[in-house]
Amino acid sequence: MSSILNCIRADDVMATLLEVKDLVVKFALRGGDVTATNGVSFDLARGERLGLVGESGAGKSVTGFSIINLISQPGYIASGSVNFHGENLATMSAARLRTIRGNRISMIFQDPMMTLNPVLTIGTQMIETLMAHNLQMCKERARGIALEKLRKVHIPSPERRLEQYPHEFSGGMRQRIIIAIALLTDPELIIADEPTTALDVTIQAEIMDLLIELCETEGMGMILMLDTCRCRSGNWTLAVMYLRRTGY
Amino acid sequence: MIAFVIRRIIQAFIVIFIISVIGFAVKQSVGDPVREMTGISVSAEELQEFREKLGLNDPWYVQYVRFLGKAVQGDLGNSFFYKRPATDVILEKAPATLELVFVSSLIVILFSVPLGVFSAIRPNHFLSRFLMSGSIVGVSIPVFLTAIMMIYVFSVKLGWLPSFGRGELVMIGGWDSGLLTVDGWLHILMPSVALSSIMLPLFIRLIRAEMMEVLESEYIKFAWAKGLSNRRIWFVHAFKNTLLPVITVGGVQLGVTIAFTILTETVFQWQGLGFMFMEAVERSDSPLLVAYLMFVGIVMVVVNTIVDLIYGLVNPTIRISGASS
Repeated sequence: MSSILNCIRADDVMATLLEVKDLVVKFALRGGDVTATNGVSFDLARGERLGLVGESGAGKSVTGFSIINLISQPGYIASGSVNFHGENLATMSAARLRTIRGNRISMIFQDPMMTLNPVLTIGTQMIETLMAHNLQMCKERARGIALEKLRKVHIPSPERRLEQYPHEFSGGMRQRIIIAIALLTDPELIIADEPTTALDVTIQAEIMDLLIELCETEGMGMILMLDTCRCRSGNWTLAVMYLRRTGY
Repeated sequence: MIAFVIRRIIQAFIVIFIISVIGFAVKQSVGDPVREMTGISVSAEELQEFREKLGLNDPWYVQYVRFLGKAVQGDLGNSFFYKRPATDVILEKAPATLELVFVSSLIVILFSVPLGVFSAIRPNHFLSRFLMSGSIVGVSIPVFLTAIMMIYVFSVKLGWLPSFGRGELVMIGGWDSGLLTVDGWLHILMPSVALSSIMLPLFIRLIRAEMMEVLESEYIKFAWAKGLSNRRIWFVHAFKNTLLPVITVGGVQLGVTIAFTILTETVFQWQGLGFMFMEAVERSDSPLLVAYLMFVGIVMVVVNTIVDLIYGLVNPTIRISGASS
């Protein structure tokens, strides 16, 4: 059984994980629709890393959010498709989409100070993610996985930290926790939307190195949105977004 | 947490102290107690002697200390009308008012939370639109008008509900309760609905506005990105954050509700503190007025202290700052 699974995985490596085709995202505003992305296309193979580079306002974040179909109101996907393992996320039902979000595709947001819920402990926010995607998951096991992931992102004394609230962490620490949350379910793809922009320069490099290192060791695909090209390591495919379109 | 509690209790004492000064000032300036007690057929000399005996010629601060000393022991003087200690009269009337406030707060909580949350997560639903326009009407109509309209419809026209009084009461250890009999509940229904008619729409709007703001936040978006269920996002992630400002406003509004009982109790002939207060004003029964002021002040302080403690339980930032100091 395990050998068959391995075979499938080995075959899958070459397969396309994500295929974004002619994605058009519009925002329905009072004065008519405003186009946020106009025909974005790119492919991502399993374990491949894509850097999406572009100036602010080019449509990077909107592209990222539209992959998991989570564009804020009044935005909507006007045309195009986002195929994940051949399934179109843009037209998928909400219930089906929920089994993919945070489970097979995780997202890391821009500002770690705003991303965590201030009134819930880190532990609660990690454990709930695991329990939402696995009905058989018990609290103790989820806690164990959460601790393991916190160690992976180098959070010291994670047992104690699990009981603490977001305001007890610095910005860099919070972004580490968010990365740990993104890693919880061992996703196939991580979308990181300028994960270091809100941090100060010394922390930026640390977080970026951590993210790349984890991606390599876990073999995850990644889409990284950045406003500048400053990645020093790893194999990257680069796509440049300019005027709401992509080009290689 | 303990430091936080102690700090709040000290603040409560300062507020009660200020209320006592105001109460004392009212007592000093409203009416002449000697006049009230002796009548007009007493000579000026005798009056002077009487004043000396009662300590009314002492400097105000000596009198204040004496007032405070007595007040601490629960003695706020005798009511001119009831010829009994004002504190006794207050304590006798308090259950009626507290039950009325309790039931209408219950109505506000039970209805505002689900309706507010619903109209926040389904802002375009026809029920939400109806609630929003209906709540404007609710806020705009004064309590006494609501009360009179209710009496007209449910008592005069339909004859379903009694229009005045508390109905059948059960005495438990000095607390005469109307909440243990069916008759008592029938009597409290209209007054409590009338009393909550201002607070309910206000709270529906408050909860809706706060919830909608929270739902726009990044951490809710992140919760969606984590693939959590709608229910978990609405009722755990969003609602807990919505609660923080609602608790604060709720504490203040509870005090306002006690003040509104004056109108409601007058319309429904409800034998509580509000009704007593109106009578005391008409009879210029100053000891009773002072006792009412002190009582309501203390209730407000106690309620707000409890509300702050609850706030501390919900908001982790406050809890920690208390523990570290």
